[in-house]
Amino acid sequence: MKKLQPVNPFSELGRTNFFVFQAVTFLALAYLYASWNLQGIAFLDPAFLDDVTSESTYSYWKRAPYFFPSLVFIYKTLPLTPEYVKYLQLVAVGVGCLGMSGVFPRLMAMIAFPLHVHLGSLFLIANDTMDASTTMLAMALLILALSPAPFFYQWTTKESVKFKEPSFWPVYLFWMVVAMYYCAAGINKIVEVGPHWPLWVRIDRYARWADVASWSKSIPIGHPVVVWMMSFYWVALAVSAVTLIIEVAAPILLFRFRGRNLFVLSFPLMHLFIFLTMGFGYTLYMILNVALIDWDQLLQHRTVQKVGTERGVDPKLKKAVFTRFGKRT
Amino acid sequence: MLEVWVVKWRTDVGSMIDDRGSESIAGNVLARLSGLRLYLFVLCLLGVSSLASVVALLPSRYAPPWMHTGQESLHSRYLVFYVSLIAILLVLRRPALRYADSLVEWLNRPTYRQARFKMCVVVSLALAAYFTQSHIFIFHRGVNVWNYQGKKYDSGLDGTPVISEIKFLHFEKGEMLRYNLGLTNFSFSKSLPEKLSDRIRLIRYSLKYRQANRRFLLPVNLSNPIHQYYYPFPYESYPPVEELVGISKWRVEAIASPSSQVDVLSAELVEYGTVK
Repeated sequence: MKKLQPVNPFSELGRTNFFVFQAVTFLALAYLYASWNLQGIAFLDPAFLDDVTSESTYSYWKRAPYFFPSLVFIYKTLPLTPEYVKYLQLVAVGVGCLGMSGVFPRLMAMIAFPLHVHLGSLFLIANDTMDASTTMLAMALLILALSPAPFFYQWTTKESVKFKEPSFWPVYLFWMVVAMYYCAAGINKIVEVGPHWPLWVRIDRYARWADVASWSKSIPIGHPVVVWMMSFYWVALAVSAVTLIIEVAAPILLFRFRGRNLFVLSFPLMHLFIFLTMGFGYTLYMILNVALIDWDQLLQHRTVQKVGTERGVDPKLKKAVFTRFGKRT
Repeated sequence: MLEVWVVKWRTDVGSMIDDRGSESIAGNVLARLSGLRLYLFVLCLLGVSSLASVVALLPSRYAPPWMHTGQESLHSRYLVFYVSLIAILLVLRRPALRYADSLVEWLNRPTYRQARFKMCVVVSLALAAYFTQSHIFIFHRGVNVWNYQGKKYDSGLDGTPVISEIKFLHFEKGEMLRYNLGLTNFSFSKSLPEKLSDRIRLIRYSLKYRQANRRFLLPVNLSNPIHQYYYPFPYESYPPVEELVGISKWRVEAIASPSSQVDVLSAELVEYGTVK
């Protein structure tokens, strides 16, 4: 293997990566709010917003730094009805669809981010927990909202000719955040348990218990074949070890590895196997993980190889393709 | 003294927000950064995190309000982690400072300054959220550790009875059919409305959607599952929601055989509510 080089956030190599990032982020937003039904929050006793000590709600989300920026406090005066929540969700779905279709995408990102934070915070106050991928979606929306308008594919305005900034850095930033997030999960395992976490987690015991759990705890079983495989100690141990390695090595896989486009598939595969074993579906992660593939490099590399390196290829493009893993500029 | 600081702050901000616009603000902020300042910022962050962990080791009411670990017993482990990082940074201060210098040099390059500034802000925010153990919604400390060590995961495997709470929907013609929290889209039962009448209203409302095979807009099979995923009962084959007359919760003692048959030994009614 050649000497590893960092990925350059300002490399000039097409705009496909950003387009994919835009599409999958808006798709994830529309998908999330078209799937979940948050209207049940409106059936809670309105005091759930006041009573910090109540067992029925999670007090962390009612502390000022989270309560006020998310605008959840407005429901202390405004009525919270199922219809209102339904319309907010429909707006979120609409914004996601418009952004994905390229209709005022930056404006949609600027609406989507606070809307997602608002609905998410409301849900957390009432429900204690959300999928970690909703956090990742919030970060993706923030990065989209911070991206310059000419980066987006859009139907409403023509591309700015004067704007020459390479559109890769928001995607790079998203990769960084994803790498930090996975790595944080891995470090937590090492700090809280130790490097022997795979020996300690015992997924095989869960797999053997799955039948009892499905009726007594109403927890779903994953795919029967996968659950059966996981019930063997060595299989479960190997899978746990691979999970820890993938998580801790996420920054290396994403930034310092030439075969990254193949190895980023390990993230959705990990989520798929969690679903097939325990029934926890991280579909949003799997959608957002599509933006982890370096599409520009993949597509351009193929073009350069297909057309030939001697003729028909812009030397600048050729240089850009082969220097994605080059010196930072 | 305070006035001097206020005047200085105003002068600083005034010089940043000049007529060159936001590009210059980003440039000015980054220009004030140095390798040493970055190094000290990370040290301070780890110092604050260590102090917060020490405070959190005291009775939980003293825990800093931003901490979102949820597991008090782990604070000592995180304290060791932070102190180790501080020690590493102090021992390896020369390479750390060199790396910080090169990072600041990269951030201060004349091209794409706004982009560099935004990247710097987002990454700092994420790092601060992780090291302070806070959940700021757009980033948090990462997934907690879980395990399947407890005796709970052996229960019922050797043919011994298991006690569990089972929930039922009651319909007009006497049908008693199971449901779970997956119907309500809440993850934990403590989140449900305390009043039984409110809970029944919520269940009726949710059941209408589920009988149309949807949670909201998408079919259940295609939709994103809620975080604490529950067994998907076939609600669409249940009697219409108009026939719902009540809900109940039972404490059931039963044996699960390997053939997935459940032999109920005893059942005790815990709660029953009717639709008025």
